[in-house]
Amino acid sequence: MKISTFRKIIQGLSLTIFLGLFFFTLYPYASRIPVDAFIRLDPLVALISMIASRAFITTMLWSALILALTMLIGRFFCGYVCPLGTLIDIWNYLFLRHRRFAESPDPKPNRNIKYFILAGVTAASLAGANLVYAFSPMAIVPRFFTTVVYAPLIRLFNLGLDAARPAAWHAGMDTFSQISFSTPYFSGGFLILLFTGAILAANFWRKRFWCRYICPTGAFLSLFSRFGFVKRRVDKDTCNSCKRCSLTCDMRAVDKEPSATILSECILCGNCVESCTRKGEKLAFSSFGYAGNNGQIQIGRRNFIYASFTGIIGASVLKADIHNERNINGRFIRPPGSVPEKDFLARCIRCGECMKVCKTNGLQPALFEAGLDGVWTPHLVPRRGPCEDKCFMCGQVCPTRAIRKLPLEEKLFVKIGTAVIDRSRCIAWDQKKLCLICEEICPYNAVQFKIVDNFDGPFKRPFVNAEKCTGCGWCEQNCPVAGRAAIEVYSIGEERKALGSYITERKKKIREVKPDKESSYNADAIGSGGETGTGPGDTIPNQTKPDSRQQPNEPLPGGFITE
Amino acid sequence: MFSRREFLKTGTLAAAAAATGSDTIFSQGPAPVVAVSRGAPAEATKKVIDALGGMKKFVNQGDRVVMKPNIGFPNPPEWSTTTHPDVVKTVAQLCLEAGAQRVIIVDHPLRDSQICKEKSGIAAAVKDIKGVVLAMLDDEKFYQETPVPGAKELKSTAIMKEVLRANCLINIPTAKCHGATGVSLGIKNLMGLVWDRGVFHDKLELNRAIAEQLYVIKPKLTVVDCIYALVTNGPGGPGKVVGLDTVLATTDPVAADSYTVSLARWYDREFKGSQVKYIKIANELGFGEIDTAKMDVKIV
Repeated sequence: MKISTFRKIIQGLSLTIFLGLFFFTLYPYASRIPVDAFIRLDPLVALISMIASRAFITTMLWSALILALTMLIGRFFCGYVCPLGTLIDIWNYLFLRHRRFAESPDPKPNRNIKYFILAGVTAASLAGANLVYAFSPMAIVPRFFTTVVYAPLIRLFNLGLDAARPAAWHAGMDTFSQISFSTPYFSGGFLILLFTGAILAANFWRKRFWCRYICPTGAFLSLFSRFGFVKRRVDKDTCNSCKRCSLTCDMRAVDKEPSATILSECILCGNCVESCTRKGEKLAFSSFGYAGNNGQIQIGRRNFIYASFTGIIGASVLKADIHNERNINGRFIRPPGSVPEKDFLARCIRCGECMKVCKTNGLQPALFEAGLDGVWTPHLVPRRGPCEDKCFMCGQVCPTRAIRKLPLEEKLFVKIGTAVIDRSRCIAWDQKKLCLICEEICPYNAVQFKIVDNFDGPFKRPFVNAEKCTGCGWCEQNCPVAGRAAIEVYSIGEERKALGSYITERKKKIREVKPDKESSYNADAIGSGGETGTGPGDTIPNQTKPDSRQQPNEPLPGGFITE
Repeated sequence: MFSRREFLKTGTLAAAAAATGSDTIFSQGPAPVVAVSRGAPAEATKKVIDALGGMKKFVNQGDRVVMKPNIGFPNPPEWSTTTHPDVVKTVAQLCLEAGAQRVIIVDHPLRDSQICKEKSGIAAAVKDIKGVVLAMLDDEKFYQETPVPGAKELKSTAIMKEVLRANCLINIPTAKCHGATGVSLGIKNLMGLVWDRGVFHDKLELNRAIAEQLYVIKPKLTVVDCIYALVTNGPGGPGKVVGLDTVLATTDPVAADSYTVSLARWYDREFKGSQVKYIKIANELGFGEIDTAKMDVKIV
């Protein structure tokens, strides 16, 4: 089999598995399929997240496998497994294969930049900042697919379904004609499109620009791949130094002397083998070590120190943001089970898996609401999508456990905030309208009604029981007031536990439903309503003290007429 | 032409109504038949429908039937916030036996559709029945804006297209109380068939708008699932649930709700159908009989 065929198969398989896992990240996802498997394979993500959070993250240990294999085989990850690498190769095939001008065949020294980036990112993690989210392909690709590709894909699918729908409708294909996928929305997708688009567009200047100059994962792996058993071998007698191999090597891994390879750059793609006019090249097993090739990493010690220093300074700038210490944005809600903020920002690699899997599409990438260090981290926007109480998927898919993996029973006890009613805008408070939606929809029974005279006559008005409220935001999503809801979730009472169960006896007691306890309903004082507001001359039958600000018992619904 | 007996009966009752100033409309037609049965869900459902003359009276050969149970909450049937799955299953089977070509079960809950249909047990109950489609219609594209002739509040509303083209609509509510409307029974259950419900709360007079749905949504049959009745903390629960083990069926939507009100102590009190605003308005608009004394109740 030709190397290029073999490689295309492996790359295709890797990308298919990656995309498959991505699309399988759905509610109710079967926990046996580790949808974040690819993300866990990146050894740099493992290293940086563990250093930044000062914790041993067991789920990331799979990356050690890749590291070991790289040491044994070579930098195959970049050429065969990495989804960004495959996307870049597809892009190059589509847009660049007929390009006239060719880049010069000689290797450029600037590829050292990726080592500076590696040094900087590692130094930053020592200072506590996790910058790998901007630089690891394992964070970039799922984030790109979630926020940029997923929603338009669904829309396209729906367009197709809509086009076929009238025919299906008339043909009586009733299961098919009802199918419509709910479209997710992700704010900030445009920025992520620009970011990822730039990576792809850079190939117009230098092929595999990202892999050559920037990718710190590649840099990290290249430190170990130099010793691998599989290397490029050139038959010196057949070689006529035509340099075809140098021209076709995307990584510019062919040394000035074309029979030698720059081992740290070679991703074992085999382009050189296929393009050799004399058929004198192959990728073969050789001895462990450099075997006469160029095994140098060209990065000076001084520059390395400069790079590390920059990393530490950069991290300190990010960490100087007050958001690391204190939630000063009162309406910033993190997913349920999130670890405390400092740790969260150190662990979260902004891969977008939680946002993809969120049942209600409520988890959105932040911009600067959580400070500079919080860009693209997930936060809940209840107006868009509340936290569905029967869903607990975000914790299941987080690869670095920035969101703890809680079972559903425990997740139900996590308080992510508290709902607050804006009485000046709530139509029951301000206009005496019989709206009840927040009370009706609250899964935790945290909204109660009391008859209150708010200077315009007694009427049944909603109150939030902060002890029962978990901040899920169902109320906020369904409040019928236009624009901003009249009941909004604030971070009040938010719980973030690094360890230990969220279930406490006190909480269980508060939620107890006592079915045999006879609640006393104040049948004499009904919450009048149905009629839009009562006029000054109207009396409500059997009204108790007109200025009572609070009723001891639950008032009867306004839909009843008591005589 | 009236027989002498009918004339006397009609005349006396009319005079009595006028004399007492009762505000219940005297319905001209014969007393609506309300079939009531106590027992297991499937058996009770079959008995009440047979007592009305069998499903063939409502479903013709080759009909498209739309069933509207309550699939509004992700709670198990014992909470009585959704219709009992066995009742839904039985009605679907009876429709198919009567010759329906297609039975479409629809709802449009506020909560998440997928979770509601699973946790309520209704998806599992109807999964393998050939000819039945369960459609949770969550997109505006499945609705059509329809004018509501005669309405004062609900002038127009977007209704599910499937309902508009159905030959037969069967309403299958569960018996539960409701924090705004008092009780949530058949007529209230029809709110699941319209797209914009928020406007009922913030722009229209809620109870009247609910009743006015009947101008344009006409269920042929209402089967009320009273296997359980949620008597406190409705419509979402959890609250006090009483086991009534009863199913009732009638063609009169007002009678269905009014009779059900008399079956349980809501919020630990007894109520008559005429004490529930939306039922009273529906009766005043002429959609059915509200006085249980004037109903032909068949206990089977």
